Amino acid sequence: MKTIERILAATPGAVKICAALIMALTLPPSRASGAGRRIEVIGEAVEKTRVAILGFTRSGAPDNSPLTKKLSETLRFDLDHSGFLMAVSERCDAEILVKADYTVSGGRITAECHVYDMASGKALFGRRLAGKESLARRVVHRMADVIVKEITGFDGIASTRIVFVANNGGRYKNIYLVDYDGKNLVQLTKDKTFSLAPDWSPGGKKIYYTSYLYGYPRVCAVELSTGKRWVVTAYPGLNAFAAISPRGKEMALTLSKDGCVEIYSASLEGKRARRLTKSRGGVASSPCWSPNGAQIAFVSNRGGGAQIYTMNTDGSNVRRLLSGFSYVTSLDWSPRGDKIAFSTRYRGRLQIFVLDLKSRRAKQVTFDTASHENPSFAPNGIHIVYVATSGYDSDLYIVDSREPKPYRLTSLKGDETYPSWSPVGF
Amino acid sequence: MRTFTTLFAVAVLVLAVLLCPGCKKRQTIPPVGPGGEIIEPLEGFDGIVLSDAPPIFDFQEPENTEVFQDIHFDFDRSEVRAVDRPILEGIAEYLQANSDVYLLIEGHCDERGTNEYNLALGEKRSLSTREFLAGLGVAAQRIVTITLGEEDPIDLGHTQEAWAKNRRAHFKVAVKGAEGAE
Repeated sequence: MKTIERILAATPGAVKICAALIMALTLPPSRASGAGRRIEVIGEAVEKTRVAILGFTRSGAPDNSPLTKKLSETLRFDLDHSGFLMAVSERCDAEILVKADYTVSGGRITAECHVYDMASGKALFGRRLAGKESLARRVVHRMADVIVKEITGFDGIASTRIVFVANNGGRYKNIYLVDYDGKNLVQLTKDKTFSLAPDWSPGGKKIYYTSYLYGYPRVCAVELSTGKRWVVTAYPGLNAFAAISPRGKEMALTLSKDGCVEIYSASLEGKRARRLTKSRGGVASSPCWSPNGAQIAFVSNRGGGAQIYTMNTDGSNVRRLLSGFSYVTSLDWSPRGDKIAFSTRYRGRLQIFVLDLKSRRAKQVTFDTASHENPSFAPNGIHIVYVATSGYDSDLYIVDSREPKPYRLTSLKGDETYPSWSPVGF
Repeated sequence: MRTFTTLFAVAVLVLAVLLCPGCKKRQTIPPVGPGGEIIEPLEGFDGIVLSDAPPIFDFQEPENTEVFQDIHFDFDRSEVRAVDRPILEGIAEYLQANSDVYLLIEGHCDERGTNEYNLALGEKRSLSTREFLAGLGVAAQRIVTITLGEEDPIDLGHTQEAWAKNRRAHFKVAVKGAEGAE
């Protein structure tokens, strides 16, 4: 426990402080020209803005130090993986030019970017951000998010993190955190038991997970800023998959205290558990709130095979979501509310699809021969992190749901499973 | 006589339809694995409430391994298979003869499917095993369930045989009044 606290103090807690210290200052007079280049995502076509990113300079001069290299690589990766921009090497191919500089003094880093429209040659905007030198990458992530937002109007994902479960080659499973670019890996729990199914509180301050620390599976929570942990629910039987409602007033979770595996609602303290589902010999599990808090989607095999159902938050109005898909065993509701990602058995493999709730059209987003499960949306509702199991090894991958070019997020020993993308940046 | 002929003709027709295998309407039946027929849960049966359990650390691997054999399940199913009935009858008999013994049923799944779904399915497997034992007269309060989903396979292989072995309910026992137990 001490170790956990130390690790936490060294990372997420520090992140919190860092967030408070990062200041975004608009540099005059950039705003006037307007960064009104907003990309509309029409249908499934992805049109990306081509951006040339000049490497970071240090105090106005070119620099080859490892830190400078790291910052340049981070900015380039972030903009190129934002889903809306495409990094190009040649200035003449670019629509947008990004120049960046930083200075370090007294253990603090101040980074500055200037963004130009290549066609008109005009400066679009500039930003200055500052933070602890030890958190330099985080300052650059924040800078990337600012650039993405200014150019496209969409929220960036560069400051987000992913919580997941890993066994690191051993028998026991613990909770880990990693930045969306695979860096800054932190082991959150160090228990000699199974810790499973982590999920974020809506504000990103706490993580709820299922732990076998006390023998039977219980829902536990950990506060990231302090490392404080506590048992949330300890009903007889299974306690798992606690999902906090978007407004943060209650939770939905899976319990088996009444002799069947069903979804319940409960207070944030786990009290007043009220049964929502009746699955008649089957199970109901993996509750997932709609972002507006009006509905809960879940997995159940009440009809024979595993399928996704939706219901009102009082358990009424249960409807099967999909037809034509079989063995649908995990899901996530897009934070934008318009889509549901799910994994299903398709041509002998588990593949991930995204259902557009308006058009009712489902689109396949994983294609290779691995087994793909547990999709979780980024806060932008576009990127998805998932588990791919291939060659008896499970790893996490990230994919832009509009164009299937996944990149690998983790490469620990053993298996990484149960990814959940943070709802906010850090 | 005419009426009789007509009736006879109709009867022959009905019989022909009933007996002709090609004409029989296809019925959907639950999938059946190597274990044979599936025992359906009781109509309208909705689980037996779990009571507070002894600490899990009190449960040990049973010495009597002939009685407490693992039972197995078909893929994505949680119903007790008919072939496992004798094992459960043996366990029920043992529990009735030894009224100071608590039983822990661990529900497990194979590695296919998602971890999260299998966690729920493993619990369902242990619950349906518990219900079956309760149906054989064992007090449900003496039976505790736990799911390990696909997290703790007994066979680390990736074959049909390994998967079949891993889709199991495993039994552990604790003696009431023994050190630590309540």
